[in-house]
Amino acid sequence: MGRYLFVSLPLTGHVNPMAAVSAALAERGHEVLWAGSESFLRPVLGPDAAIAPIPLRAHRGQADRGMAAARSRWEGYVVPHAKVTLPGIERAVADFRPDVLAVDQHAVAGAIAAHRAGLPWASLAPTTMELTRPYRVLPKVEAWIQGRMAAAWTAAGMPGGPPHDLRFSPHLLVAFTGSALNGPLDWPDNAVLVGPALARRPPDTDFPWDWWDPARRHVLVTVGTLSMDLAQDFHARVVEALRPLGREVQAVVVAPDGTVQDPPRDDVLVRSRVPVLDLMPRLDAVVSHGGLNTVCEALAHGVPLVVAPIKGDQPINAARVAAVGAGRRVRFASVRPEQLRADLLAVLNDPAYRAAAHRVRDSFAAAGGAAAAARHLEKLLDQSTDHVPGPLPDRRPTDGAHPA
Amino acid sequence: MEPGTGAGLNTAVERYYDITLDLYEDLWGEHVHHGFWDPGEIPGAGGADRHAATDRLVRELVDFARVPAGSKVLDVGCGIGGPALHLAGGMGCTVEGVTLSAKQAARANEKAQAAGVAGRARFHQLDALSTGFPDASFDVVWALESLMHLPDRPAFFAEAMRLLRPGGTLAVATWSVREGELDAGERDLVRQILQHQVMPDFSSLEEHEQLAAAAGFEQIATVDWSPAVANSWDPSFAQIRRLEQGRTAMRQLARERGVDVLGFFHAGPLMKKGFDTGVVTYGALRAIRPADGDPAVDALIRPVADLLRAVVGEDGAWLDSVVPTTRVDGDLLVESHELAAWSLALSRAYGDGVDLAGHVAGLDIDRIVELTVADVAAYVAAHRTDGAHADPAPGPDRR
Repeated sequence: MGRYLFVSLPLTGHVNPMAAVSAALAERGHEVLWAGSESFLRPVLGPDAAIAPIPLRAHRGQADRGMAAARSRWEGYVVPHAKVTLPGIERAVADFRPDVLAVDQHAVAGAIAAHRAGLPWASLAPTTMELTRPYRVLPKVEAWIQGRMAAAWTAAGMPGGPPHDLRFSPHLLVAFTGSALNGPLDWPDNAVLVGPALARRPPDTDFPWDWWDPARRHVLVTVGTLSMDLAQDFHARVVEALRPLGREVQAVVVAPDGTVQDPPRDDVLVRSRVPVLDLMPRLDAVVSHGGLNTVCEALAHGVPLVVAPIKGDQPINAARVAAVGAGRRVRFASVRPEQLRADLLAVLNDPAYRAAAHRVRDSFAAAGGAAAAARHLEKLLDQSTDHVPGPLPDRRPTDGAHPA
Repeated sequence: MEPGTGAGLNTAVERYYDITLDLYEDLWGEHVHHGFWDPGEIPGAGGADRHAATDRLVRELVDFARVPAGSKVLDVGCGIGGPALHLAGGMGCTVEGVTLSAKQAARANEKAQAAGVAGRARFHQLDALSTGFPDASFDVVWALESLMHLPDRPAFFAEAMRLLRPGGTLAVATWSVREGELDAGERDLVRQILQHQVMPDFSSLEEHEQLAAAAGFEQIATVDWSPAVANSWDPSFAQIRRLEQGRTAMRQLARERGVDVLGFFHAGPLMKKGFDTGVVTYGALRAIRPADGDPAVDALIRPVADLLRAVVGEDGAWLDSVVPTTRVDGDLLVESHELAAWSLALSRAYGDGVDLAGHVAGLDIDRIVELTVADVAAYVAAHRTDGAHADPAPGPDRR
């Protein structure tokens, strides 16, 4: 049996799939420790999970959109987070003596800690941000990101520069998407696509199921955590799009109190939290910003989508959903209610979208999810057992865009 | 002393900062301005995060006003140079700082020397409204908590307009007052704050916006930061109480420096009350001096934007909303595949010499974030190979 240390970021969309994998490893008899903020992780991981606590530190808010969002993600979040969490992660490595680290692609400190300890480690990709390398056509942007990682490496007191891209473990890359959605990845060659890793979440006993009218079709609207003005503006257009459909459609909108003005109460339910996995089997369509978790959760249940991407990997995911025919994409910033309604009705009424979503669902099921990820992580134990301290053989990508 | 106007007030402001320089620096460090916190974030006990919070405010204004790295900056009311050293340091800006206080200017120059940026940050004892700098000599006019001291705010906006180059940025953060009528008690609170802090009056954020527009600025935006900065007056952060302990020490200070030094100590509780009751507000403003158009570039803006409109599937209203300074990344949210399609459409319309995707690929991340439609039009104007250099509107938007 092995010992696994999990390192992620305090972001729900990142921790949820990794939590499913850690639970699968624990079920298979392995010992798992998480290093991170206990106040954030505990509600996700449950009362029995072992957590090496690292205090949560406030970082600068991220820009909402575009390249500015990419810049602030690295400058204001990924790099500072690496700096403040590295000592705690390294303490956990010293105390727990893991055989393998499972590291979020954006938790650069985990990669550095694994290098320093000479341990095998896996990169886990809860987003598709890095997988399709959207910046490969912008070499200076890619070089700038490499520079941020190199700075984190140097700040950690590591000699020289990172031996390879810290987002991509030379040992294993686990991505929570499937080839039926993303197509086979042309790089790196150690990537396994296991599909979504879904774990049971605490039940939402407050959800007003008596509101639910089984005679109507149902839409879930969820666009993640946004700044108030962006959310208000989008939700107002969503409500206008839905208004004439009340006889046939009920919608659940995930939004903080007060961000949706005057929804028609019988037709549109606004709640800040909803039991997404309980709703999914009952849904006819999802309107989403295209976060990978929501997209994959919907497709894992064969539910087609209307995707309005905002930033990060969302445009990539939206493009993939449209390409495989499992939904439509709209422009988040400017789509008007009439267009949104037309796209939503198309997705609801044209069986081709649901059929495509079902194809993706079946391929996800075959990909194996959390259990498959756990089996791949177990293979790293063999490397660890043979392992003598010192650097591992480095299966470094040959792609020229990634400086060694 | 009653705050006056004009020269009398300037003398009072000069004197106020001369006599409180060491007090502020001792208590607040190099940043003589508010701190900035996230919602729900509590200031560290005893001001442990003072520098982080005040430094954060500087970075927030840099972000909000979109101050480009490497800019030439006029810092109006530079204090002892804390923000200017940030701009001149990591951001590589060249900064001219002005303050009414000779002591602040001297201290700021010392600090620039110590920080090794004296070549890029210089500080002068000058009135912000008569600095003598030539027209259009700055990319950015930066006023961080100084506008409250200026009685003639319309003149400030006019002078900022004169000093900025076309396309340049005005970045303001300022104390302000709630928009609308105040009742007698609220007016009295404001009067006391003004008196102790040597300020003529407060304007509301809305009034600042109107003044900027009246001076000819464009793309004016404001943000209310009151909740984010109010912690600055939390007693444990402001540490005013510590100095209040010694009545003797206070009397001694007043004897040495004049009784107006005590305004420094009165500010804390009054400001706290002001923020708590919503009477005192705090906000930032950004505004752009309109760019002078090159007719060949101007003529290309709409057709170039129209080609993008076709790529992203938008309508005429969208096209009408595009102005020269609209950002390709942050405003239009052009994604990489849309950029590629736009680039192809541009090369079809304007010749193979136009390779927008290749041009953007050569830009670093800061330039990509700042890229405007006018920049794209200028690029097309400079690289078009369709033999129609001065011919306006060859795109599909011919009308």
